[in-house]
Amino acid sequence: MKSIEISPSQYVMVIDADRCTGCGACMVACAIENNVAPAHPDATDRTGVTWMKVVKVSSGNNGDGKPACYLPLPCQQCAAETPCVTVCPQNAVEVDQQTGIVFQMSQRCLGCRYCMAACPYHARYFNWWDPEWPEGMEQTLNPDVAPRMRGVVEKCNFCHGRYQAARASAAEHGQASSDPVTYEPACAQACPTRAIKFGTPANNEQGVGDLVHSSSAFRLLPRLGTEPRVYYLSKHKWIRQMAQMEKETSTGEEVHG
Amino acid sequence: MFPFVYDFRWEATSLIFLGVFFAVITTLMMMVATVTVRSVKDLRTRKIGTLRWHETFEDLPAGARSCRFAMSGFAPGRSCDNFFECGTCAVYPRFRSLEERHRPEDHESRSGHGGFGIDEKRYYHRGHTWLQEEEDGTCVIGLDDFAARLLGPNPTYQLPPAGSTLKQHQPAFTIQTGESSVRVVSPIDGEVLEAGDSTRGWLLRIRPSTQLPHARHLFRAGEARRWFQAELERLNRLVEIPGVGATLADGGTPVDSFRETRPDANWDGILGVMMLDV
Amino acid sequence: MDSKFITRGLERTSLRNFSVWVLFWVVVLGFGLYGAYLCLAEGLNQTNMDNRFVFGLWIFLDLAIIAFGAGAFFTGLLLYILKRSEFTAVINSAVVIGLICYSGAVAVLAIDVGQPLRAWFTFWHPNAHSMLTEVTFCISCYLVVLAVEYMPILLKNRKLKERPSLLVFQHNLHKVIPVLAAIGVFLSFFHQGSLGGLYGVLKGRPFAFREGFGIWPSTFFLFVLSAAAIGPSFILLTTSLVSKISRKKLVKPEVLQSLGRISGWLLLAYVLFKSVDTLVWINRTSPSLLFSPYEYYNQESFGTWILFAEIVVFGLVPALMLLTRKIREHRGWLITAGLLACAGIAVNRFVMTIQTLALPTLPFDPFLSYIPSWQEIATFIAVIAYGVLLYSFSFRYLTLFPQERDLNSLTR
Repeated sequence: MKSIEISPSQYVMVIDADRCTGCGACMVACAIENNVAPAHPDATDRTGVTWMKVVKVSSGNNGDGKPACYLPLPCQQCAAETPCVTVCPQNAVEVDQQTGIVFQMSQRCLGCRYCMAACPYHARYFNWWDPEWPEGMEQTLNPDVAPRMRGVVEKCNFCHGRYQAARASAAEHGQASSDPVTYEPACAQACPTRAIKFGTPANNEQGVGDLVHSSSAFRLLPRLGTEPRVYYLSKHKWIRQMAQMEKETSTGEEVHG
Repeated sequence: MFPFVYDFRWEATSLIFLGVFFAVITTLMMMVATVTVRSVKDLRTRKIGTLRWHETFEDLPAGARSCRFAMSGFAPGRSCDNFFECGTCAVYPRFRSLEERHRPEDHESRSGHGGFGIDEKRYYHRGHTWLQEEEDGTCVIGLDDFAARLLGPNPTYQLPPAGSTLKQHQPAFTIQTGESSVRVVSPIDGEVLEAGDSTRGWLLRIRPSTQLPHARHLFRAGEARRWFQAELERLNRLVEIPGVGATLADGGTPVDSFRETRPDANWDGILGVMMLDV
Repeated sequence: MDSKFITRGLERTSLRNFSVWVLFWVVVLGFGLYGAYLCLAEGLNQTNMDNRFVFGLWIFLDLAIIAFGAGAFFTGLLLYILKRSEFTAVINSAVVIGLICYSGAVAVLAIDVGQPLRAWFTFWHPNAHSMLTEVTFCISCYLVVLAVEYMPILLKNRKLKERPSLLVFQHNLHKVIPVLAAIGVFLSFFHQGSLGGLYGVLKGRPFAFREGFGIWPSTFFLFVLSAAAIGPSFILLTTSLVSKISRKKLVKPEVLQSLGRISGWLLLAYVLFKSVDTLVWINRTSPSLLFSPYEYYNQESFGTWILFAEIVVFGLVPALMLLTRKIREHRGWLITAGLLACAGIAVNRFVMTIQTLALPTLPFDPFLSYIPSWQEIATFIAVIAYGVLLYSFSFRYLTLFPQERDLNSLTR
């Protein structure tokens, strides 16, 4: 299936599924960077907020040497027919034309959760509780990111706070605003095996521009036509086939973090 | 939603959608405005009386609204669609000429009295009042026998004072009996000259605006007799016990008060439905 | 004691009995409101919904009662636009039922969203491409229309119509009812359809996704048709229920049979379209998104039996029953057919909401399950109690059934 060319000045994320060990450092870094409150005591893996979620996928008995793999799942930042953007009743989500990032405006969100039903990647999270930080922990809050209140939807935005800081710093140095800036989201920064790479094809940070065209690159659910910006790499055929729904091989899901 | 909101979208889908929405809202608001304006106008021009009668008429059960020609058999099953105003009814002339051709005796006077105290000299109205012309050109109005038996003994009357105007089919006077009260509608347009009471045999003396023989909506003689029979059947249906059937006297001379035959019935309701005050 | 407020010529139970009835339902309402209060005060964690089951009992029941409330617009269409005058017998009751269904649904929606006070954002920043915007606008407008249609019924109360201003206002309002009915039909067409469109456009949920006509997926039209089909059935069911509880005849039997027949024809048309749509979906739409339909049904709780139940047992069977004169003329069978039809619509709404969310989209997702919490059930019980109370007061003090006086004796 022919894919749309993603504009070279818009960001992509390339995640190497073969390198991911499932340690969950990206999940922790993401939560800290983006002011996600500690989970409520009653929260479960289905009610917690985890903008980045590492998922364990078992191969069943189709091994070819690898019994399981780990897939970090951030928001896939769909580039075409973005499901959440089309369905939000009050335009609380929009695609930033310059960066390609799908932007959730939690202060306009009504909490109807229609976008969550629409998202095929389950990348959106609802605040089922009021966020609460234990005494003293408010000192760890990131001043560049607004916390969200109870009853609204939130999701990964490729650490937009860091993008804006990089953009401001680039402007100080006289860089044109149309030139893409280089920055690194918290998950990519924290990953100990450098499995997560981030950048624009134009600047080709960490070689992302070439990696998206490699033969081991794939995206999740390509048949839906969402054109996600998050690419995965794997040399294992069973992982690539599974993601493209050519063969159902999984049996379970476990979350780490 | 409005162009001055900062993220208003100037695209076809959005414009069509909002256009339709505003069209619907505008229509609704204009409708409410029109209704309010019309209501204020109706109140100012004092059309309340006519409107009230029209509403009351529509609220009557279907059995109370049968066309007089249905009762005479010339228009079976027909319901009145003109608020008992036979004078302005479109089909009245046709049916009346049919009736006169095939049953002329219904409209002729006869001597004697019918079982319900029908007086051949009187004109009867569907609100259970009668009118009688006096030699001096005035009219007297009374309650017919049927109503008297419905009301039972010792009702109290609230009659309008002399000089009041009566309008056809609008409340003329009120009667109280027990815990119920009923407003009796006037059978004709006119001016009240004198209030009477039951000892004088009439309740109101009026000067009518129309000559009685020209008042098309009133019943005489045979037609009145037939109408009384229909009213008795209607009353029977109101008080019949399911499975048992009609329990009022059928045939012969009725008792003095209907109430004593079925004291457990909802007489307030029956009174309202029979006297056209619902 | 309150007989002066009851329409003359109608028999109603004693004030004491009525008060006992009202008290019971007020207590139930109180319990339900407590559940709703918890959801508002503590947050939606009081429900058993989660990030995968974002819609639960409330949305499913909302969709179902909005479909049932379609009797209001459809009876209005039959009476005021198609001039089928026999339906004056049930139009008032239909309007009250519609008002209850829509106001109840809106109330539940206010609790279902995370930030109810922001509800006006949808109006201020509307997204015309979203089906949910369309639903919001249409349902709000239609609720206003229903409230305005309720006014003449309310103002005809025995005491209220004594006031000249109210009488005149009611009279003039009634004269423009056909316009209101037409607006109601227009709005209902769109919101019933958009409720179906909500799921039909979800490309990320191949179980629900459908192709269609223009921007409208086939589920848009199927929902409109099914709502129109179930409307008359629900009216006939509620009328029979009220008749039984009040122990009175409220309408002539022919009216109920007529409603049943209309429902039957529409239901048959719906079953036909639904079958065609299902075949297209099984053979073309779903495989094109690389989901083979049998995968949807290899879970024990949602086997193919549910598809069979929806289309045949609760679809074709009641349609054929309602089209058979002998069955229509027998009150018990007529009611059974109506109940089966309502169950079919409920199953359809359930499948589109709950089953859609239960099914996995990503290849490593499991099949999920969800049981509503007591707070969710309590909130819905509050809606039912509210509906019963509003209907009870309307039935006692207003004339909901014009034929009632002709059909019952005035003996006690």
